[in-house]
Amino acid sequence: MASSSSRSWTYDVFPSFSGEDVRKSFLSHLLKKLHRKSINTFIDNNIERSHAIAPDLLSAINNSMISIVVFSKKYASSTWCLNELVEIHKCYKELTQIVIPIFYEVDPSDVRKQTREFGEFFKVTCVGKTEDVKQQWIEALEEVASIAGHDSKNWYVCLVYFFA
Amino acid sequence: MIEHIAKDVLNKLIATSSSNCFGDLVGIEAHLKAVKSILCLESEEARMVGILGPSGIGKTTIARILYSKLSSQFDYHVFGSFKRTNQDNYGMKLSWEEQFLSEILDQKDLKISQLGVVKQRLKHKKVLIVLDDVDNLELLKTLVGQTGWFGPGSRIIVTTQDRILLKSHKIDHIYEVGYPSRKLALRILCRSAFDRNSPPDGFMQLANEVTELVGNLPLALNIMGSSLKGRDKEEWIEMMPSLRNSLVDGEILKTLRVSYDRLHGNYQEIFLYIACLLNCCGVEYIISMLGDNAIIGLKILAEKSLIHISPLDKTVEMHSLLQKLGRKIVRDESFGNPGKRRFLLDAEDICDVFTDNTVSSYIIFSSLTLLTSKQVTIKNLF
Repeated sequence: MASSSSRSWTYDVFPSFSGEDVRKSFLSHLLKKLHRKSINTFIDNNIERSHAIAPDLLSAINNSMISIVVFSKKYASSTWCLNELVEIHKCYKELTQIVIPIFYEVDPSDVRKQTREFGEFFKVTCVGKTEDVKQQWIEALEEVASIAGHDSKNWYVCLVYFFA
Repeated sequence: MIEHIAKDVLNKLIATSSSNCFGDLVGIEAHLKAVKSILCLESEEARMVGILGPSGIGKTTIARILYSKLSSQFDYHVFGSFKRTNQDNYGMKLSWEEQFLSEILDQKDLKISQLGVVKQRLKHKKVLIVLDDVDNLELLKTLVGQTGWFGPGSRIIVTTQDRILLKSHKIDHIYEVGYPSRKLALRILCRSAFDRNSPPDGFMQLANEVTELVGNLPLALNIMGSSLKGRDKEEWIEMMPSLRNSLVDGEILKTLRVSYDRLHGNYQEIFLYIACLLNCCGVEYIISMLGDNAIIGLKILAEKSLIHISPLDKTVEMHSLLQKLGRKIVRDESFGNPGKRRFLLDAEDICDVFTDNTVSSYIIFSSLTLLTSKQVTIKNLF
């Protein structure tokens, strides 16, 4: 029986994000910072993107101690991201992973309930998908977005205080 | 703010890896899964859950791991062990509430003037509360009287040896921690003795016999394994007779005593200090009391699984069975003549010593709070 304590992880952190929204901006800064703190992060540069989630990616998620999910407006416009999220959600429920959601210019409640702009993108992605798949996505979005995380909205508030 | 996130990530990584110092936890996954299913985390209702089992079976370990894994999902959380104090009933409950609230709301020196604050302050909050090693119904009534005191989704976990206590508090969701199978017991011993699941070549018979003798209590298996770690076959064989003798009447304290006896004298003394006087104190405090020699001593005791050093607040915790062992050792040093003992733990004994004027030069008083109840008697003596 594998025990969580004796388990060795390949990665400290698996980041899940919408490349279009954050890869060049927020994420690159975050990755640099994590690297500076000697946190070993999974980088997906070499994995070919397709609709089905790649086995390499599945194993990367399962072998990471923490997943960071960066929710942005277009996160749910990608089947790829949503499938990653389902796997992360699974690890989280099995208590094998810590999940930290980051809400990047998107409201947590819009993610939880798939409303407003975030919801619009989600609906488009759902077209032609089976009920089962949709249900899995919805559950994962609801639960992962309910975990205590970081909200970019609060950063601006902090900045205002800082300069006030 | 990226700095802030990165800090959070690093803190969580460190917290998770230091929770690994529980040692290699054979069979823990099955326990976690079972408790998780009765916790029913998806349910919106607040719920109380009991973890039931005898001393040394692993209740606290299970609760600690669950707590470290789950606490981030809750608005407020606390893991606490609250003991009887020497105050009157009301004062005791007040101090429980104070300690509880100051931990869950993260405010030191919080003062309350009347009971019932828990009920008011946490009504709409999603909380995770672990009350460890509870033996007093009043404690449950004071701190977690009803699930209605807490917000939706709250979870309260109570670990105890007492089934009636859970029943009296109407806690019906109970996980009873069972003894490990023979095979699992051998694996627990091997993990702590050899860092692997099965004995290396030539040790099979010895490991099997030790497992047989120690019985299937995880605490004892861990302690025995740790005390034999890195020892060669001759040393194992050397230890067998004392282990066999210890089990004549099957009492677990005697089994544990074998690993105490194997400690170097200096470390035995530190063990006794903690058992009698310094359990649940901070590492720094203990070192300031016992001197720098204690630094290595604490490390050795932790390596031998005789104490646990909490990674978060750096306090030293000794299991109640081991504490009992330490106190028994001191009592037996000089049975019937308390004045000759190193520590006096019983108020009666302390009074006797003063009355008979038999106090020895090396006696060290313990638990001075005990004296308050006997204050009048003591005053009369001076």
